[in-house]
Amino acid sequence: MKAKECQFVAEPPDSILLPKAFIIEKKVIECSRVVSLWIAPLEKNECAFKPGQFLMVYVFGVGEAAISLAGNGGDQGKYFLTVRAVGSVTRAIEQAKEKDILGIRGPFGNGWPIQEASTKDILLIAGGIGLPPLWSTIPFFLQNRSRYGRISLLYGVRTPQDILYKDKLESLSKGKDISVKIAVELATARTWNGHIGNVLNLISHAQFSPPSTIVFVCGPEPMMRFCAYTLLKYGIAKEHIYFSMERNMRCAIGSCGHCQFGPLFLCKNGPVFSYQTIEPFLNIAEI
Amino acid sequence: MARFGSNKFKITKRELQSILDALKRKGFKTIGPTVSKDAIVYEEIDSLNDLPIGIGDEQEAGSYRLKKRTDATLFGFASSPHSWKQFLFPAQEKIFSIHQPTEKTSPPLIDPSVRQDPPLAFIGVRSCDLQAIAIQNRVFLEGPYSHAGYKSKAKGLFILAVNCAYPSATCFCSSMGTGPRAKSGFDLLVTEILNGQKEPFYLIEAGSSQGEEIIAQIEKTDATEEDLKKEKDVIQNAEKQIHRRIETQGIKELFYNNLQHPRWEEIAQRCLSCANCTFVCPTCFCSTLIDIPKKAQEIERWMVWDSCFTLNFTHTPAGSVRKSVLSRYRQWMTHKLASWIDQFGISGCVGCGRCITWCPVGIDITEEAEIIRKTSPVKTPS
Amino acid sequence: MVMKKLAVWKFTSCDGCQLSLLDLEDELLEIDKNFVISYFLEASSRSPDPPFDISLVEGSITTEEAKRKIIEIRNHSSILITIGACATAGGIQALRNFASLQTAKERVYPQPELINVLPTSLPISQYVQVDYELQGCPINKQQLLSVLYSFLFGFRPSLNSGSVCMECKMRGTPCVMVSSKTLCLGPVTHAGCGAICPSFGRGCYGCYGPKETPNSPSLSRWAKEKLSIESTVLKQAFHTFNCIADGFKRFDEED
Repeated sequence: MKAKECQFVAEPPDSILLPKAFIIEKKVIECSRVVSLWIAPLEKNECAFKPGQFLMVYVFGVGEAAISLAGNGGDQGKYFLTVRAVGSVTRAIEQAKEKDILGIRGPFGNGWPIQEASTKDILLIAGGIGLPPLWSTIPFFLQNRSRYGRISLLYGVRTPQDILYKDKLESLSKGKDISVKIAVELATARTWNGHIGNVLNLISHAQFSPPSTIVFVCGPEPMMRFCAYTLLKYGIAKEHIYFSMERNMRCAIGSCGHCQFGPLFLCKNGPVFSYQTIEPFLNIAEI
Repeated sequence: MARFGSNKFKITKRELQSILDALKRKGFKTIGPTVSKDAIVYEEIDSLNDLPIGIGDEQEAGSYRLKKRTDATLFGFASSPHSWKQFLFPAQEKIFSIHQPTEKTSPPLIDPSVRQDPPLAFIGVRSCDLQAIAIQNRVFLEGPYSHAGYKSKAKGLFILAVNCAYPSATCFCSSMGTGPRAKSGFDLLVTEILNGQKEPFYLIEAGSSQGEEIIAQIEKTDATEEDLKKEKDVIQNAEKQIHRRIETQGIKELFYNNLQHPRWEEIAQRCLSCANCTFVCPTCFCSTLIDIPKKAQEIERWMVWDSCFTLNFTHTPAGSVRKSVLSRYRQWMTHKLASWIDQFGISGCVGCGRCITWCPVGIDITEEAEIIRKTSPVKTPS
Repeated sequence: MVMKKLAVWKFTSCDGCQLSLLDLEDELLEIDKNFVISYFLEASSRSPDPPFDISLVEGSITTEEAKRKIIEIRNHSSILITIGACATAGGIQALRNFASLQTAKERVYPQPELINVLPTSLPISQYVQVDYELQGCPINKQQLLSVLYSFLFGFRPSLNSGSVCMECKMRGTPCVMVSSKTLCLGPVTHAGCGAICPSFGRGCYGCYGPKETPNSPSLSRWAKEKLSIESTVLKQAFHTFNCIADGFKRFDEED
């Protein structure tokens, strides 16, 4: 005799695991394998985001991928994303067309510590596809420019063809608010007019006072690590250097365990961490 | 706990059965231990006669055997290959169905799964598993987001706990501070006491108002001084039978300081990365979300158990972060014994010994922890 | 949705994996909505009509003619998917790779000179580029469906590559190795079958082939020392449908 199943608990669905439908309003090809999308919710979306947060983007039939937010799509509730095709899901996103529907969850994560940057000099150091998450901070700094000291955006890419946001960068460099410097690793004087070499070399050209400087870094992990060593040599404090880390992301709500880095969950404790917090684990292989 | 601690009553198997019946009348799905396929597993039970009467177990690293006892105990065994987590956090659960119209520009229709979970009553939960449930409550229910599926199943959970009388050789709850005596987290607590040639009798106490309510309905006598002494003996004997241990003093620092200890290499020679330990562990909580196409335009999204021992677990565009089996075993053990403390304020290990018993090649977490502590180049206070 | 042209090919095999496609029964009607089954000898006598969007290939290569044919199929197919242990790992017929073909021929056939075969049975991937491998003996038809739909959308499927142990534990079967001294290849075998055999008290036969990073030497050592499994029994267990796959071919540390 089985127990009568007369009592049941009906709970609302796990809405945090349900993607919301967003339409691709505009798509721009940035460079080989990289596209930018402006997406808008089909139903009202209240979610403002903090720069440095990410979305879980769902493509029907393919799966989900964590994509950093590069900005708001012009209006409240809209998003601007830049995606590089590196796997099934990101390739599906890259191949999506305007008017296609994507499933969106989020935003998730802690974001860059914008408040801490108050009164300080700021270095934004981006490597390759690390530019979009840093780009999301620009409107916040520009909105209250007087709160901050000198701001420099240092951006490194491999070849001149890999430069993202060419128009935006050009327009930003014309203004006086943020100093923009770009370093290209593989170029000759003929193919590139500016600095040839690694992005770290740009640090010596930036204007900042080490004791009161905060740094936000985003790029491939080895680049971020070397960046930190360089910055420490300049006398910048460990607690003022921030990385945006990347690991396998699934649920994004701290329950699936995939994004762990040492004791830290990238989704709920990160993805932005101070160098001081992650230093003990950063140099251990396969942690 | 002080509210309910003192009133202990003495009952027989008949009254225990009437408790089970009362729970079923209230609509609970009663789940308890029963013999199936050479092991004691947790399944839905109807009566106490479904329990492993007079059956005990012998466990060692990589070995589990049932044995016939010379008495008629209902709870004469230790841990099971099953843990209670499979009921609160099922191995596979559908989250939603999604139907894509043929036009890619039309929004897909999402059909979320509606939960219809009957309230559960767990019969015979050991102290280690009580702690494991408390740990998973913390993992899944405490902010910033809660696991809706777990929340739904844990709601209205009724626990009839049992004090362990016959720990197995792989148990080490005492050194983890999680047993053998159950202290909290139960609605009713029972200790089975042998009674010579007669059937065992039971001392029972309530641990919650729900438990009090149930006790109020059954026939019982007050436990006598002699009964209480016998109960104390049962527990003390149980404690004496536990030989394995993990020294927990400074254990977090011990592992954080030994991430490059040569012992990991030795373990990696043996470890099969089969993920068995993570799936029998009552606190392991990792999962993944997968899409299963049912038709060309219809997909179901499921949440299924996953393990840090798989290569895919740490997949990134640059390849998996933890490629070597060494790094995966190290992740599991240091997470369980060390990082968990930073994440949730308590150890992730409850000393149930399941990972030791059910490892196909008998890797013993207590042995490895001891070796690392003894040979750690950095001295940790102990 | 543009219909995709599907072809199903057979080399040295038992036909069981192709049969999985027919075993889909009702779901075949769904397949029919999106795929044109252009060539499938087990189901229809229609002649092949290249080019193909997707070719499913079953069976291993054991003759010169097969070598030529697979290259032709590769040239006519946008996507080539190998299905089953024969195509992905050489199959049980690859046991001949360990021995002398001539000796075997002479023992079996009265006129061995009439048997014109390659000395080895090798997987398809040894001869042509393969876009996806679906392991199994036979393959899991639900996984086949998943793979077909993924390629319909134009993307690589991502099926779980964990161990059979994971599937066993998910369905609640107590480990047969631990609870009785039954040799089971589950810990080193690729998931996919749903852990059927242990649910009947039998050890896993390794039909789905080695999982990623299999540690067969460790399993063998334990089997010999603690379960008293003899070396010959161990060899018989590993050298079956996936006998030449890495992780099963050499399963002992003494190798």
